[in-house]
Amino acid sequence: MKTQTAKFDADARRAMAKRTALILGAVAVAVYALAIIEAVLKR
Amino acid sequence: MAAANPAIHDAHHDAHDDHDHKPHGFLHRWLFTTNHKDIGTLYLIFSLTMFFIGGSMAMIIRAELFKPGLQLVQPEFFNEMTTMHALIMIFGAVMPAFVGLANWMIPMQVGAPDMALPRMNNWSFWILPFAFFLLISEIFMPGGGPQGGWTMYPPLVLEGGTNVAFMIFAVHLMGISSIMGAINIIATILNMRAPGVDLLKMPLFVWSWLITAFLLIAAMPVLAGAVTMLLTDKFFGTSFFSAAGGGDPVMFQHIFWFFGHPEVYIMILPAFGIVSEIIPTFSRKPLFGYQAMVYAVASIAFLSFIVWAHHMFSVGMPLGGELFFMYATMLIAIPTGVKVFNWVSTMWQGSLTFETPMLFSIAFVILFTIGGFSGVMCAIVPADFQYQDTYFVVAHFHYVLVTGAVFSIMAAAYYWLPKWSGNMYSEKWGKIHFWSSVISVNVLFFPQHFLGLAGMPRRIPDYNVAFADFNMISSIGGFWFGASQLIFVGVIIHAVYYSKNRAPARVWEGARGLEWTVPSPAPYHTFTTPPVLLPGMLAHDDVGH
Repeated sequence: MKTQTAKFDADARRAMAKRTALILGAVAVAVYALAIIEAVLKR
Repeated sequence: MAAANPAIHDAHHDAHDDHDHKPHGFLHRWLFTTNHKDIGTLYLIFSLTMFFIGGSMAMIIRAELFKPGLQLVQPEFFNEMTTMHALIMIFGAVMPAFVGLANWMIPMQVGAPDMALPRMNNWSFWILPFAFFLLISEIFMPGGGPQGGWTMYPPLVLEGGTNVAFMIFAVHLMGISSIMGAINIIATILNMRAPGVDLLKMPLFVWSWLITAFLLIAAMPVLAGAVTMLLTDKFFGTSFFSAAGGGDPVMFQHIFWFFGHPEVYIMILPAFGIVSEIIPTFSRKPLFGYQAMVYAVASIAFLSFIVWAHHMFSVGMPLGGELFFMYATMLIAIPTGVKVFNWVSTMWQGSLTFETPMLFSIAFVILFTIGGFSGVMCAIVPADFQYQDTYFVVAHFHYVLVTGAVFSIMAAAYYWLPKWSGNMYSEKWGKIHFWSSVISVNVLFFPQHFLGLAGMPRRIPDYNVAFADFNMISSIGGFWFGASQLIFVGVIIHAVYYSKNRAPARVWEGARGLEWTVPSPAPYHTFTTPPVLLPGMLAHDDVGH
């Protein structure tokens, strides 16, 4: 089992979490746009 | 100047970990909270409220169906009730309950101090009451609420008046709330785990929510796109789904169910996670096949995106399409079977005790499997032509959603309530609630299989006298099940405010995981410094290695 290492930078993790959230938010907007674009193309 | 020295600051902070630092004032605490436990509590209370509002609509439906003929309500109001009951139960009761449990438990289970994005977390919750205020207020508007079913199929749904705009805005708000919640959960699990909590050491509840959150991000925007197009068709002169303008109403069904089927799994995968936590605890054995359980959840999530058209067999599609969607749907039975076998294998030769959470979990395994079997029946194309739009389908999805999702939520509430409140609930009344619920829910839904097979259509206020007996039995079961849930509320209120039986940190003898290392009730802030893992602290710290 891994033991706790000294390196645990909570601020860096929060910054990474914000980047993750931005990427996921962009994915959600892209999926929304794709659903409408797909419907327009199928018409 | 303690804060100037990080080491002294940490020591100072640790000493205060058990103090709550709650904001003062009711509004300040609950309206502006960024604390994951407070937001979890808000979600759970909201969900329980919606469960009773949606439930009272179900009581109206069952009262009308108690006897053949129109008894109590007009057909238009009956259709409003079926539509609103579904929307409220799906988006207002089941989904927020799971998000509430995620908020409460995920940071504690991965050793994080809070969710990764606490302010967005607050926003995710506080959008919901406004969304449901919009939705429910439609009932009191001229023309009433939406009557076209929760699936919102055009052209029928577009026959509505202003309620269409309100419903669509409400659905958009629910979608935004869910997507933000999902983003927060993924960001938390991927970035905030304490050192040593590797991905394949996480509790199953965390794993199932990680996968569910990805489903939400892929599925909810599709629903948002579909209802946006409904909105422009209704109010801005487009004809995406209007055949008269060159559009295609069936395309709406494809887009809707591309969201709708993953949505079904969004409501059941966290339930799998909960049951995978509870059964090992009360079997006093590690979960059988931990990694297989993780891969099974991932497989089910993948398959959920390639089976949508099984909801539309009778709409018509090429034979190749029917065969593809039939076989793809049946494939889901394999990973689901793996899960059921692993739960049973976990119990096998365990030192079982039957506290209320375990009773609900065992009922889940048995009754969800019945719902799964009727699902496989519906997957068979030629047979589905008979079942389509009958009470058989109603029986099927209520077994999956009530004895599946709702029972798992109740199991989770009993399992973690002592951790949340610091008090034990009344085991006697918990068991009375369980037995009353499990008997009545079968009286309620099992006869609906027979009604469906005999050809009784769903979403109608009146029916042939041939269906009278089973409908009466079903309604009696419905009132009984509804009344049983009042016991649940009583047990919760008693445990939170009146119980004298204090809960220890490790509430259940067989429980493993980081949430059981903090005191009960869990302090307002936990794991402000990452926990140091000791052997045996995690439930799954030696799997597969």
